[in-house]
Amino acid sequence: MSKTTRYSGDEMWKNNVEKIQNSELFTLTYGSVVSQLCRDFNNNYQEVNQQLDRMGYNIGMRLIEEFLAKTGAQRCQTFKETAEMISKVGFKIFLNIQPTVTNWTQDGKTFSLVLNENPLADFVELPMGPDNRICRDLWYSQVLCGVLRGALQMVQLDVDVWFVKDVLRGDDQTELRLRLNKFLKDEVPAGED
Amino acid sequence: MDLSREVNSSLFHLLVMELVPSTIRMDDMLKQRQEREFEPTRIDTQLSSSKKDLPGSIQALEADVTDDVLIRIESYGYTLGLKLAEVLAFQKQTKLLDVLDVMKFVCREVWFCLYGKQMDNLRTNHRGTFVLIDGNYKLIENMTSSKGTPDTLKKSQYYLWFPCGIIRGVLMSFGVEALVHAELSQLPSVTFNIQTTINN
Repeated sequence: MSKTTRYSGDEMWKNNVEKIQNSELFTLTYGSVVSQLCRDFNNNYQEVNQQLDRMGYNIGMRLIEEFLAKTGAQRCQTFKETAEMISKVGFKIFLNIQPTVTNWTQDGKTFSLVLNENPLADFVELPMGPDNRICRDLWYSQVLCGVLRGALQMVQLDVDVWFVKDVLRGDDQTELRLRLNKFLKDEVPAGED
Repeated sequence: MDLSREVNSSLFHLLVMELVPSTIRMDDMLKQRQEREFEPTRIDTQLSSSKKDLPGSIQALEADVTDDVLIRIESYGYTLGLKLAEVLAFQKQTKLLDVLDVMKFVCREVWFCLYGKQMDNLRTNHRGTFVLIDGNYKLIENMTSSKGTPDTLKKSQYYLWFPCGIIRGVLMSFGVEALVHAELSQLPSVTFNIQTTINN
């Protein structure tokens, strides 16, 4: 048993979180953003990914505050612990899902999060064009990568996050990869020495 | 349809709050139109051409907000409204006989779904104009500008195009064509004015 189990995501989800009754509302809002982005960028999906990533990053920077306030979590000692925390507490209290942590590399710096379900992509189907470009280029849930990176940046972890598989593209599962680049040093904010 | 699924409501609010700055930045980006490779966002990534617009800041709101931006924000809401109306009408199985019923539907079901509360007041002149008042509008209740109240009011205005779009979308989905705009005189109370062509 790792130490992270002290913070029970389930408990917090039940008692401590204001929920929206209809997750469709959230799904539809996100869907409307993505489709509008596709229109605005003239189906240049690279740009759409980029934009979603930026939105996610900004959201992540704010979301971590709520996370820390709600959970009172302490610093994770190892990156393994961080992974558990992300899946069992983070995803649990925000999206009410628990991705599986797998595929650790030897050096313990890269792992995969497999999303068995994805509230962002409920009822979503990517339109099949003649050249199927959308399935090749668009990562529909790219915002998640941004959120993870933004949130982890705020707790002094420099990570890379990217999608490797997505059921929307016809893959067998939805899989995110996280790679730890480095632990950042704690710095005193400018003007507060 | 899976009705039991729930997500954290703050996630929804964070997403909506991020819409406005993003849209402003996107407008800025579209104007420059250059080909770029995908690059992950970093803490020091410049998000738009306005100075000091870094992740986590809302510097983007200082830029001149053009009508293009506002129209885009409104259309996010509009597409959401169109679809949301269908989902809610299906779930609640309500009968909507005339425009007033539709307005009540907006005040009760739609607003409850969005903000967990109903609209506080609904007025009409019975000639196609409706006024909906939410005395404590959730989306902007946490907003405050470091430059004082007038600035907060000005910047919150941009965010209001989103619910305006939602209302217009819902009405449209029930076949009511309408013009919607929001007035904000005192935080956090918002007045939505709705002009329809239908006499009631």
